[in-house]
Amino acid sequence: MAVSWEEARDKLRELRDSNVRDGESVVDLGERLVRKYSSKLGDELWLVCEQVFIAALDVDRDDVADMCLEKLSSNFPKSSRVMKLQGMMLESQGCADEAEELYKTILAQDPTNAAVRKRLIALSKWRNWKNPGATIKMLTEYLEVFMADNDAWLELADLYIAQMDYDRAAYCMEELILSNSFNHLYHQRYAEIKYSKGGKENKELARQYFAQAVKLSNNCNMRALYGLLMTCTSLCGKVSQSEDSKNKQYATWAAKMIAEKYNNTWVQDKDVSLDGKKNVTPSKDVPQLMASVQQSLSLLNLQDGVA
Amino acid sequence: MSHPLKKVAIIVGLACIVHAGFSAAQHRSFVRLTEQEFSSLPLDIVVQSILGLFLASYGILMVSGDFKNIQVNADMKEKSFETVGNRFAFCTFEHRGKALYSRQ
Repeated sequence: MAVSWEEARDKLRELRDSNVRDGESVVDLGERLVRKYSSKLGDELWLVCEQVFIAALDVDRDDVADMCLEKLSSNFPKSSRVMKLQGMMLESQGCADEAEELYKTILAQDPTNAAVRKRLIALSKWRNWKNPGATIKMLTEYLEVFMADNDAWLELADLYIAQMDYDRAAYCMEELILSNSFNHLYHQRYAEIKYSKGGKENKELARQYFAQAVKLSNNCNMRALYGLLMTCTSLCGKVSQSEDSKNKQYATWAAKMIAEKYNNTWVQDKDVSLDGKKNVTPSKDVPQLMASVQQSLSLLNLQDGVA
Repeated sequence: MSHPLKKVAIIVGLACIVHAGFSAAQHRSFVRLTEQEFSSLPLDIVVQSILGLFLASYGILMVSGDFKNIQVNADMKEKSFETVGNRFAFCTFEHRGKALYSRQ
């Protein structure tokens, strides 16, 4: 492999910070790092070990997972965090009962261990995947204690969405927006839930939240831009005349922004290939995507809106 | 400026401040011994301590890493729900990974 160990370390750090679940590349980069360069990593080694371990479970590489776990448990023999990883190993091997037992023994020693409680919830999610009711109950009990856990609120929202309980899912997102009102993704998610719920009031609310998401992300959030376009087009004809013209205006603006973004990626990629550098294939679906934008605008007879 | 030079800036700056402090103490004792009226510190000590302060703060600013953007949502702008929606605490392992990557 051509990647130096420093590059691999930085890449892994980036993947760790940005929350990407890409087991394949993490194992590719991390296996060599843990095997050969463990002395150079210093204290970061343990973070890398944990990251590579979870990635190895994801891509079914038991040998790598064993190696990481061995390193971790020899260094931290009594750590509950390492015991949690052992439980995850059992989970990946399909031994749900043993994993549950292990998690419960950890919890008996340390009832405030949030990470292990979350593993129990994940375990129940896996076991009761057809019927998330039991998991939802566990998760709400967890959230009564750990109210500031953003991940748990998001998870609960997802479980409610899976049950098409949009009102409760929206409540979860409201909690998240309250805790972090500058995060455009929470606004976008909330708007999506309201849009899925349907109905005029919900869609008007969705439009507001999509617009807020677009604003907070400095017009970067493509999903929110599309959402804005969709809500405005679907609201047309269902509201009063003055509202209608506003919706058309917003839809045109969103379409313009989307078209601009697609055009920019097109041009940028073409420039790179002309320079004879790395030949980046321009996203081939740009014409298709433009057509879909045009189509939703043509519903409003506004084709000329797109530059 | 390279990294070691910045560290030198911190050390020199701190040394300047410490030295100015000792000089000031010495000046006070000198003034007391010669039974003069103490009015103010000599200009060179004042200048030295101010210079040391600036040098040390510059060095520390440069060594401690890049500045972060002051806007709250600056590092959120580029993110999408695809990564933020990943929750490792709740991940399960009964998925297509086993089928996709099994080496049989």
